[in-house]
Amino acid sequence: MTRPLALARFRALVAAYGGRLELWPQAEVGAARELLAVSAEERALLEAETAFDRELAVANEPPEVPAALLRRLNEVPLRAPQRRVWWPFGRAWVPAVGWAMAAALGVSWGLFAPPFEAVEGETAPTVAALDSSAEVAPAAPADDDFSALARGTLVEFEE
Amino acid sequence: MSHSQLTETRDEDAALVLRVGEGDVGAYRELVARYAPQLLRFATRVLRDATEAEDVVQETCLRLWQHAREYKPTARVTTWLHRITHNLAVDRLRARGRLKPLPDQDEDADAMPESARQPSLIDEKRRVLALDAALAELPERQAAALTLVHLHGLSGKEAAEVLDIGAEALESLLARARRALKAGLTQPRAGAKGVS
Repeated sequence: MTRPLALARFRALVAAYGGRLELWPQAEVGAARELLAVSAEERALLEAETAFDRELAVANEPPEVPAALLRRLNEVPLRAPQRRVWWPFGRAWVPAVGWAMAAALGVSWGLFAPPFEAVEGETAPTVAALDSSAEVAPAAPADDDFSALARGTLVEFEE
Repeated sequence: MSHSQLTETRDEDAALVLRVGEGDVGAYRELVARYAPQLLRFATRVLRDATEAEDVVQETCLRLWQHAREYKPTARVTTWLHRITHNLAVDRLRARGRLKPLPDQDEDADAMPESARQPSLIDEKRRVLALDAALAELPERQAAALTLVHLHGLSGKEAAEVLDIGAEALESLLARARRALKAGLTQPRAGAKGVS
């Protein structure tokens, strides 16, 4: 159900757009048709404006373009080269600003980030701990120990 | 023009503009053939000067050729071209200090005779001359609004976009233009050659 159109609004639309409903604002055409279906007075008003539209239609044929102008217009592509598009993905300033901001971020990180030595100092104890743990770990058994072990096992089996 | 014809024309025009963007001279000339007459009439209505109107149409066509890649199919090609023409024409009017302020809302309403509701019957050629004379006497913005909507078939929304005004302002311009034209047709003025 469309919202009813006030008479004043209907008359304002007729006065502006005339009798051709296709020129009217789309949102109001439905309500206008409903009003026209029930009001003879509004139908008469629309018909009067439609008659004036017919008067206007006689002036609807645009004038011929003078031959000299048409020639100038047709020569435009020959005289003015099209501009080359070096960035076909929309406005070029968007990625340019993005790259500039990324570069600025990188430079400021390089200037203000903590120095590399401090990081190295934090890792030094870990290296030392690895070294000391290597010293404390038991030595790997020598080849002789393995031989003895093998022999002992054999003795136990023989016993 | 039916809705399907309108959609077809819209698609055809958009395709032509895309081809112009790729450097297709034939597509450019097709668009010129379609729209130059309308644009010339529109520019003449706004500028009231045939030579300046021709210059504006040439500048519009130059922009069509050079900026076709920037066209967004969200607007009809006719709206886009009329908007370029209007902006160029208004720039010229401003440069010459000729942009007239809008007349008061009721100025034309007072001048409208009652008989304006029923235009007298005169033969077609004389009606065309009378219409031209009446159109020539309209203020620029009224003439522009009426030409866009009633002669070139743009919707109210499209015409408002071209003129860069709101829907209410457009309706006001159209209503005043129609009233003034009716008055001009029923009481042809001395300026209407061959009519009086």
